[in-house]
Amino acid sequence: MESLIYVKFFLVLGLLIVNCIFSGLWFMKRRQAMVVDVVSHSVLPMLVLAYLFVGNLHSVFFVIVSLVCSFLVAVCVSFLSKLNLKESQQIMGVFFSGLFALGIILVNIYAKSVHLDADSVLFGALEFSVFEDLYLFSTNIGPVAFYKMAMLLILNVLTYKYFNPLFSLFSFDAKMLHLKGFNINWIDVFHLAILTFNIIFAFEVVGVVLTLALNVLPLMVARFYAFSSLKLLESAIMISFVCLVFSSLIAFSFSLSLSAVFVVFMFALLMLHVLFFDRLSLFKKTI
Amino acid sequence: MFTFIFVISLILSIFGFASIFQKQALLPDLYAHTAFPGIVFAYVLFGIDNFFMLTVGALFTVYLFRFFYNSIVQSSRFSSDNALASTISGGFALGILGVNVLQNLGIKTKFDFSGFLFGNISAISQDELFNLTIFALFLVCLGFFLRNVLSVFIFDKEFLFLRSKSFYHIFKFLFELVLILLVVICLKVSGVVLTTGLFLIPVSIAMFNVTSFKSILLRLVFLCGFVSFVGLNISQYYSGVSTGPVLVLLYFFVFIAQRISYYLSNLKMWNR
Repeated sequence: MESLIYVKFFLVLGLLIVNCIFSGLWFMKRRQAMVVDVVSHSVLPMLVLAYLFVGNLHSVFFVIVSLVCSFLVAVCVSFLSKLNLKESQQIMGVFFSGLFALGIILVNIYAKSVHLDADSVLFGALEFSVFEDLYLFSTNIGPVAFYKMAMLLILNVLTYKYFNPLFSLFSFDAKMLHLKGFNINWIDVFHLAILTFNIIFAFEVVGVVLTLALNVLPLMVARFYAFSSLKLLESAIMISFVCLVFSSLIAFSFSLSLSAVFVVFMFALLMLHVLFFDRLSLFKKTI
Repeated sequence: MFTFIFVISLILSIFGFASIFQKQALLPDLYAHTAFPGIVFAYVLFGIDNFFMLTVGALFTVYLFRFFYNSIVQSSRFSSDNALASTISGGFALGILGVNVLQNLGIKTKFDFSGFLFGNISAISQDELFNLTIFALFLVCLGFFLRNVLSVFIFDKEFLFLRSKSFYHIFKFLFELVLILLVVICLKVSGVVLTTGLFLIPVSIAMFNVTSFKSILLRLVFLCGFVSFVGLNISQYYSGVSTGPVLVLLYFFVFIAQRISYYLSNLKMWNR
């Protein structure tokens, strides 16, 4: 029974990481990783408002309302930060902290009794997500979070399959795309929609800051071995899988938070690459 | 309490001003997130709620992660945005892991990490509040005496570097040291995530459509005084709401109101 729970933890977090790799890919290529951070912080008040509006965290309407509201906020913040490129970091900082403050106050006033409390906002609630099972004709068919992540993965794979060339061109040369007659603002909005979808689902499992880590760290490590989108995705997923296996062993043996162990593990791997990869390859070339 | 919040908000805004001018507006965010593991480890090592020891711990991790951040940027594979994102999340994850270890060890204490995560000014004792206010006032006086050097450092670093390399390095070190100390103090007021808000929002309001440094300072004094007074009263009236988020939210509302009124007045002018 205990091993089954570990498998559930592993599967849910594994799928979540793959989803985050897909959503983080474009923002990393565009060199705008902090947009992920801004969106993940800004969606909090929208989640609370959606909860107040619907009154239930497990309803489909809650998911729809929170997605729509969060998407609108993400578009507004991104648009405002682009109005003045010189102070875009400043505007981002102002908006994410202001909206997060609003979210924290709303959580403390209205949503303390449900598992949208202030601690789960920062740390996530992987434990809750894994123990919420889905029943089909009164048969338990596994955690709800697993199916949510699987559906999101299908959406991510389809998006990648059909829009990869367009998005790649947009990441490297948006002006050329504009000259070809594409509306680059709509592509940006589409990127934000995909990101918001992924962030909303990642938010409840791993919390605000670790969502950013899952979007960025695996891809940064993979960047040392690959450059094209497909290779980057493959390498990031492979590296994450290996890291997840080791992190699971450590986390389950010492009763630690699996997501935190995974992120620390990935960060340590990134630093090893940053500090030694180039020196090692230079050494190999010399030999 | 009012004096402390007012003076701290004012100093944080001035440091926020410096970080905006050096095009590193989100640097306080990096410091706040990476100070958190230092605070946790200092607590594990020293086991006491001692501000000095916690600051030493925070200093250690902030400098360590600053080194990581610089290494990632210098590796030339990643933009500063990517480096910032990875360092922030890596540092914070290490902090979460530290809290996890503490919980597993079953160390039951009065010490409250959620105070550092979301800010809890009411948890600061009267003695500590007095000491921190004196420290903040000392910083204000120091800033006043060194105002010329400070303005050269903010606006033209290269000039200061060319004048005297050793002085530049000492001043830079001291500037960052004070910045980290302020971040640790700010963690107690507004928590990890909202620290950026106190650094950036007031100065963004004060800087809007003003070029003179004196006018910005004057605006900041009025703004910080007004928001600190209203914020404190609101958080005392509603018991469930802590002061830090209220302050940040008030600044945010003023910021939004200012920008909307500016665009509306521009719109009216165009219509005429």
